[in-house]
This record gives sequence, structure tokens and C-alpha cells, in this order.
Amino acid sequence: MRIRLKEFNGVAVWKWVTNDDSCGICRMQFDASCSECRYPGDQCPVLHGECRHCFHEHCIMKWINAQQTNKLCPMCRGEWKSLP
Amino acid sequence: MDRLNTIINDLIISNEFDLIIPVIKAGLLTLVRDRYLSEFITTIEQIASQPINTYHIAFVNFNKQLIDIENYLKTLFQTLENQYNLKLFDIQDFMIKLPYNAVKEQLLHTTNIIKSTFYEKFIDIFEYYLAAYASQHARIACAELLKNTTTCSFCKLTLSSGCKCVELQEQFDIIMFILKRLGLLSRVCQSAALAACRHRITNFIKQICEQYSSHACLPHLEQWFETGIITWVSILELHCTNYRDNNDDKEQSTFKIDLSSCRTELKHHIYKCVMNERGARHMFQIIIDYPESRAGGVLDDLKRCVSIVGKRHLIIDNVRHEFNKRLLHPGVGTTEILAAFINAIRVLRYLDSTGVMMELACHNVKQFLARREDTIRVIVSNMNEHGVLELNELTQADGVANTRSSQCFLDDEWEPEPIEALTAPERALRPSHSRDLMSMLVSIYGHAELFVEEYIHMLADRMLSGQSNKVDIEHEGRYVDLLKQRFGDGGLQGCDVMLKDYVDSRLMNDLVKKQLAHVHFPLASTAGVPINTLIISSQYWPEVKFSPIDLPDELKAIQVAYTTAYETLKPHRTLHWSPNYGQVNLEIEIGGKTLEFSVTPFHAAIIYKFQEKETWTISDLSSSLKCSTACIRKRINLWQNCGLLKEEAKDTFRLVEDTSKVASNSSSQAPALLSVDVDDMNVEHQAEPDKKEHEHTIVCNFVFAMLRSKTSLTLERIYSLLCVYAFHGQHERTLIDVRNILDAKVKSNQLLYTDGFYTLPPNQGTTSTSPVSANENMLVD
Repeated sequence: MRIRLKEFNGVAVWKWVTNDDSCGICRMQFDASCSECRYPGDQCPVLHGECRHCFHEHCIMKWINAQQTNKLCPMCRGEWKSLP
Repeated sequence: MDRLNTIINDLIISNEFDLIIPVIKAGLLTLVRDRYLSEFITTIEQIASQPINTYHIAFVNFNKQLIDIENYLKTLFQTLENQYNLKLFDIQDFMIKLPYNAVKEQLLHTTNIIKSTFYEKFIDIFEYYLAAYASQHARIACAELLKNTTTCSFCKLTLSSGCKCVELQEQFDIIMFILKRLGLLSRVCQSAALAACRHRITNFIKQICEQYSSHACLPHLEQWFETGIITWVSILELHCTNYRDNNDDKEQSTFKIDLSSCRTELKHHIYKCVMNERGARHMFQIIIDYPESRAGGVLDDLKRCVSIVGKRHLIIDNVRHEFNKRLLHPGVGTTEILAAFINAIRVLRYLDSTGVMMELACHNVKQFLARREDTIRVIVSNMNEHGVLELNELTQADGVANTRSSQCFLDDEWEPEPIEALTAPERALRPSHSRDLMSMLVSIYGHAELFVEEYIHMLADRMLSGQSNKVDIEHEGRYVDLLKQRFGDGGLQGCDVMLKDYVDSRLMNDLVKKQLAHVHFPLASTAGVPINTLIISSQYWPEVKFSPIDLPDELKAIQVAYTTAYETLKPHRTLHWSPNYGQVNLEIEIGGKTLEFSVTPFHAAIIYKFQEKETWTISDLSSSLKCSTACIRKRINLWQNCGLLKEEAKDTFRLVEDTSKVASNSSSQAPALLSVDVDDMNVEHQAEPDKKEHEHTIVCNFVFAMLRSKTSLTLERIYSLLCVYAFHGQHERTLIDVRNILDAKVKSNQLLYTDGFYTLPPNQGTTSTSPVSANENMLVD
């Protein structure tokens, strides 16, 4: 018997490569959108900090903008610097 | 007659001329009364109803006897006048009064004579002649309704030669004449004629409506009624008036035919008959035949009948009965039941826009459908595939529903609900505003959530099956919008993401293809194979099962290549592949035959293993593919069914050598995929009763807590409290649902029900309240 592949139609799930399942701010899964977005993925990206904590971009930006003085990571209280 | 003669001779001889007149009068009266009339009456009564055309012979006989008497009198008077110069009375006047007096005296003797069989025979006779008369008019008016136009609808003889209906008319004139003589005409006419007309209409409509037809019959019937029946009645009326002119009897003049009241009554009778024939017998055909039955006009007929006659229960009962008899069996497919149900809704809504008839008639069907597991699936799949539910019907219904609730009381077209609404207790409790098609279907389940859930599952299934041509994304998008309009955004938000995933995946496929063109494939055999992937956002899809397995190298290589390309295009993201979904097209060469198969990657993985060696046990396969034996067993069936594999011993499969029975599955791929889907669905569906159970417990906890503080409550009060505190105004739980839950608790002795009040049984009411219920008490107070 010989098998030849003619066509491949696969189904895959995309995932953010993160060290956590859900966003520490909105408590939503990273694979879902933040509470203000309709669509996950491109429209609601995930931001990695230097402290290795990840948040939805929208969530962490809101948090940072609300901070008066130092921009701190809400998890570790270290200075927030996002990785590119 | 001879005895009378001798008596008169005796009188003449004895010269007692004064006595002659009374003797003649009395003698003839007795003769007519006791002999001729009673003979006539008994013949009429005894004649079997079958050969009615012999009736007139009795009339003719009787007439002849009267003429004989008249002739006899004439000759008698002649001789008396000639021989004795004796002038007697006016013969003509006497002859008119003679039969009338005879009848009058007869009536004195036997009071019931007119009411008895004699009278009924008259109805038959009248109907017989009316039928002959009306059939001539039916030829033109009802040509469409009568199937055979070459023969007379009455005597069944060919029109050109055999039909004697016109001659019958002459017989009828004789009968009328004798009746006039008897003084019975007016007496008989009013009631007998009306009864005859009614019989005729009933029988004629029976004849016409015996078989179901989608054509309208009322317009034809009305024409026939005007030209046939009404003219006949007016002929009768003419006879009666003439008669009254001749014989100015005060008693008689009270009998007459009132043509206008006749007309209304008989017309009403037509509608009633059509109702009885069509409405009470052919509803099922009308429903099955729906679009045609409306176009043909039979529905319009019924609508008119309903508005005039009422009697909706006839239709309701018929629909119920027929549905029970023909559809509500385990053997009938849900699709058929549903199609009939949808048509029934359309038909009944057309007949009664308030929807009361529909709810009454379809109650059983709804309950039956609610018990079937696949109903929702069928509804949803019908919505998309078969066009049983058209898109515009959904939008239209929605528009109606909106205007209904707001403008209901301002609208001129508002219709009161028919009287039957009162007999439906379950309806009265639930004043639903929009009873359109969609809400009827959804109401099978009480609320829309399950429905929406099922729709999402169906949508997911079709997209995941990997047959990209199966999904019309634009169509689905419109559909989701419509469903959102109806059920609100909440449950359907996921659909937007699903549809977007689908569109995005296509773009991604193009991008990945370009990317891959620059990269060298690790395996030469997979180069140039078309690759398409559906990349989904797992949070928004109904549970997609991931049981990663060790795929064959070729497939793995493709997935790795694709994932790499994806990761470069979308930083920080990666892909997880599911072997259970999607579709792999394979070409298998075996025994000099080449076959094509379309299967899931999992299936493909199994058959690839048989490339390495020809015999595998299930446990070997499972360790080799790194998955459970149950998964293998479920999927290996497909290859067994295709004839590629054979189960040699238990759990040991072998590749077949004889390939004569091997069949490709590409034509019958749908069942194979479906079976997997159904398996998966079953697992998910098992969760649903649990969910329901859970909701029930919530309701019960609330109720128990309420009862602890209030001791007893009515169903309505419980429901309104639940609406506020437990359902938060969003669950479309009905009163009936709550009652069912409570009744179940009553049955299991957890609640007591007396005089419309629910209470806790004594031992439970006094137990200490838990913290949760204390909280509840606060809410209730």
C-alpha cells in the first residue's frame, strides 16, 4: 500500500506565548480579548514586561496612565518596561 | 263511487232532492279522505327512497282520481240538470276545496301525519327535484369542481343524450299542482323546501369536497347557489303566491317563503358545510400542501368560513387529531414533523392572526418535539440548508413583533382573540406578544438560550469539518445578525469571532503560502501539497477537543512548517493543532487500485501506520500514536467500513489483500465525518441535563428560602419573586416551568400543596435556616 497526500486542511488553535494563562488585570484569558474589545488576537494584543509579567496591552496601558508617579507593574511593583 | 251512485238513484226515486247535495258532498269527501288520500299517503310513505322518480306516479294517480271525480260530477250534474232540471253547486269551487277539506279532516283524525315519515318523504322529493334543477346550473358555475363535465352530475347520464333532468321539471310541476290542490303547498313548502335546500347543499358540497383539492370552491359554490338554489326557491315562492291569490284563506297566508331570510340562512349553511368538509377533514393535506393550498385558494375559502361561521374548534381538533395519527410517532423523522409543524403555523396564522388557534392546535406537536433530542439541530440546520425557513421570513416576523407590542392598541387592524382562547389555560397565563414563526419554534424549548447554543455548535461543526466550500460566510453573517436582532448580542458574540477567524484564516493561508514558497520543505513528498488551515480563537468556539497524537511525519512536517511561518508572521503567538478536525485528502494505492479518501488527520494517522506493517493491535496503535485505545477503536471503524482493514482477531487489524471490495469514501465522506461529530456532540450534550438540574436546584433553594419566611405562597407570587431575584429578568422561564419544578418537589414530598398555596412540610419548616437562606429572607422581605 502506498499513501500519497493530496491536500491538507487542518484546524489549529492560536495561543499567545506567555508564562501565564490570564491577564492579571482583567482576569480574562489571554486568548480572549480584554473586557473592552470584541475580537481577540491582533486587535487586542498582549504586552510582555521586563519583569516577565504579561497583560493585555489595553489593560496595562490603562493602568499605567492611571498611575500618577512611577509606572509600576501591578503584579510585582517593579518598574514597568514593556518588551518589544 | 258505485255506492254513491245507487244512493243518489234511491234519493231521486224517493224524490228527496234536498238531500242530494249534502249526500254528494259528504260521500265524496269520505271517498277522497278514506280511500284516495290514505292510499296516496301510504304509497308515498312506503316507497323506498331509492327510485324517487316513481313518486310522481303516486301524485299522478291521485290527480287522476280527482279528475275522475270531477268528470263523474260533471256527468252527474248534466243528467240531473237535463232530467230533473236540478241546479246543483259550482263544481270547480267544490273540486278545489274537496282535497283540502279531506286533508283537513284527515289531520283531525291523525294529528301527526304531516310530521311523520310523510313529511320526511317530502323533503326527499323536494331535494330530488331540486338536485335535478340545480345540477343543470352546476354545469357552468362549478365546471372546475366537477371532475367529469360530460355527464350530468345528478343522473350520471351523458349530457348530450341521456340526461332527463329537464323532463323531471315537468313532473315537479305536476306535483306542485297536486299539492296546491291538497292545500299542502304552503304548509309543506316553507320547511320542506328549506330542509331540501339544506340537504342539497350538504350533499353537493360533500360530493365536491370529497377529495382534497387546493382549489377554491366557495366562489363557484356561491354562483351555483344563486343560479340554482335561489331561482328554484323563487319558483316555489311564485307557486305559493299564486296559490294564495286563488284561495284567499287567512290561515294559509301565514305560510310563505321569505326569500331574503332563506338566502342568508342557506348561505350560512354553505359556509358551515365547507367548514365541515374541508376544515374538519382536510386540514392535514392543506398543511402539507401549504404554499399551493394558499395559492389555490382553499385557504381563503376556509378563512372566510371561519370568519363567518366560527367553529374554530373543528379545525383545531382536526389538526390535533391528524398530527397525532400521522406524525407523532417514534418512526417519523424530526425533519418531517418540523416541516409539517412550520407549515401548520403558517396555515393557522393565516386563518387566525392572533395565533390562538395555532397555539391550541400545535400544543401536542410542541411537546412532542421538545422531547426529541435532535429538534434543535434540525431547526438550525433547516434554517441554513433547506430553506424551510427563509431569511426574509425571519426579518419580517421580527418587524411584526416590534409593531405588535408598541402599537397593538392603536392599530385599526387589531383583532380580538377568538373565544377559544378561553379554553386554553396554559395560554391565558402567558400573554405572548409576538407569536411569529421563529418564536413559535423557539418556544418549543421555552427559551432561546438552548437554541442559540445549538446554532453555534452547528456553525462550528460545519467550519471545523474542513470542507471550506460548505460555509457561505456572507450568508452566515447575515444569519448571525438576524439572530442577534432577535435574541440579543449576548449569546451570539462568539459567532462574530468565529466568522472573523474563518476570514482571517484564509488571509493567513495566502500569507503562509508565500512564506513557504521561499522555504525548503523538510520532506520532498509534501512539497506542493495545497495547505489550508482554519486558525481559531479557542475561547470563542464551542469546546474544541484537543487530544494531541503523534501524527505521521508527512503531516507533522506540514504542521511544523505552517506553524513556523505563522510564528514569523505573528510574533509571540503559536499554533496548537487538533487532529480531530479538518480534512486530509489521501490517495491510496493498493492492489493495483488507486482510491481517494477524505478523512480527519486522526484517521489518516491510523492508516499511515499500516504503511509500516500490515498488522496492528489496538494497543500497539495507541502507544504508537500516543492516544487512548478508545479513540482508536472509534476511528478505526471507518477504515474497516471502507474495506481496507479487517479485524483478524479481537482488537487486531490487518490490511486486506483482496481489494475488490474496497470502496473510496470520497463520495460518502459526509457520514463518516458526521459520525465523529455526533460522537463528540453527544459528549457535550450530556452536560445539558446537568446544567438544567443545576438551574432547578437554584430555583428550589430560592423557593425553600422564601417559604421559610413566608410559610405559604401562591404559584404566581413565587413566580414573580423568582423573576425579580433568581432570574434577574433575563431568563425566559415561564410560569409553567416553575410549576413543573415545584410539582416535582411536591411529588417527592419536599413541598406541600393545598388550596393553591405551597408550603413546606412541617419537619422542614422548623429546621434552622442556613446562612444562605437567611440572606434570602432578607431579599424577600
